[in-house]
Amino acid sequence: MTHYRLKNDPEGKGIIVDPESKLEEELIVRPTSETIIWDSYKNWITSYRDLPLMINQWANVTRAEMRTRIFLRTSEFLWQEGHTAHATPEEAEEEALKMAHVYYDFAKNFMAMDSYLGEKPAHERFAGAIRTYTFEPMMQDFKALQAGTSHNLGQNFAKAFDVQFTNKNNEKEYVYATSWGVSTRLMGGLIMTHSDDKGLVLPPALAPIHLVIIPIFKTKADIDYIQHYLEPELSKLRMSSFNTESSFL
Amino acid sequence: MRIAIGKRDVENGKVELYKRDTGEKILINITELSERVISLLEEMQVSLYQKHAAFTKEHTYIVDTYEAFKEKIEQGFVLAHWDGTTETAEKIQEETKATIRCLPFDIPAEGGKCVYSGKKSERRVIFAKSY
Repeated sequence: MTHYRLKNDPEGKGIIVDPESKLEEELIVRPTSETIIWDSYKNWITSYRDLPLMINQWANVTRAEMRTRIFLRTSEFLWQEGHTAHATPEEAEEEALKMAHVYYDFAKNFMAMDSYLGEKPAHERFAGAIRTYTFEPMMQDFKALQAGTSHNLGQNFAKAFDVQFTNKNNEKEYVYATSWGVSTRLMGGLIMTHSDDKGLVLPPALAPIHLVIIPIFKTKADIDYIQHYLEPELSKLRMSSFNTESSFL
Repeated sequence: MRIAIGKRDVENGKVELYKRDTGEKILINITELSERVISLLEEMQVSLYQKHAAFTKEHTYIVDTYEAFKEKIEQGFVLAHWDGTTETAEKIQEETKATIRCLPFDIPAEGGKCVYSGKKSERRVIFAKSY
């Protein structure tokens, strides 16, 4: 990375690096980790017995963006990226679909967020994918937020990085791959889905605090009195999976 | 959720529970505090989801003409027929800023005519403006 910002080319069409944003030191950063992963997989995969090879990593990645937006589109963001290698195309397809459903179910059951789960049209596929799956929730301004994606990469990356395995028939074959990821953008989606004019609203499954108890008192004796009276119920709440917070706990 | 509790509440045995999602205030017996809090939180998880699902459904429009498309795309997602070509998708994007978000799994294939070009379409797809 030689510049940290893009801009519209004043001369003509397209996007260029902003000459005023040249970095003093050039950096090697990545927008996604396929190049490192596949370079490694080449050394780790020899036979069908090494498959499936499934790795997930939580990392940061960097992308040059013209218009950044907190959580939704940042120059650096945090995410998880899964990369899997399989012995058959059916297994790769199953894995890609499985993770798309995992994302959709997580959004529904934990984030309390509905979304459309489906396949991207061909022209919107991830570069190198044979199929891309996505889940798209509607935000309060009616815009879609692409909340995460899962790709069946076929043998494209295996061929690009020359990653082969010896299959059960003792023939060399390129592996079949998937990759999938969600990022801090999902946090932006969570914030935007439920929040209102008063501020943040989080679903109980993800909220760090569930109940706030505010004592109304004049003296310390008052607090002791209230706390004593609440204690049976408080101890039940402590044993539950919910988190209670109060100045006297 | 929040409760504010003073001596008088203790003496009355009741406390007011405020729910952040709806702004509702519910009077409950202090002896039932943990039970009510737990069940209300579980309900809240479900109702937040249902609220969003209803919002999404309410603002997803099935359209069959480009005029209707242009109107509804300002008010939500649009489910419309598409001829499957990049060319058509790009024209729609240029003219309305909307893009095809996905070919949704739970909308069955249905023959029709592309909302833009009139050419043959195999299924409806989701169009929307996006982040």
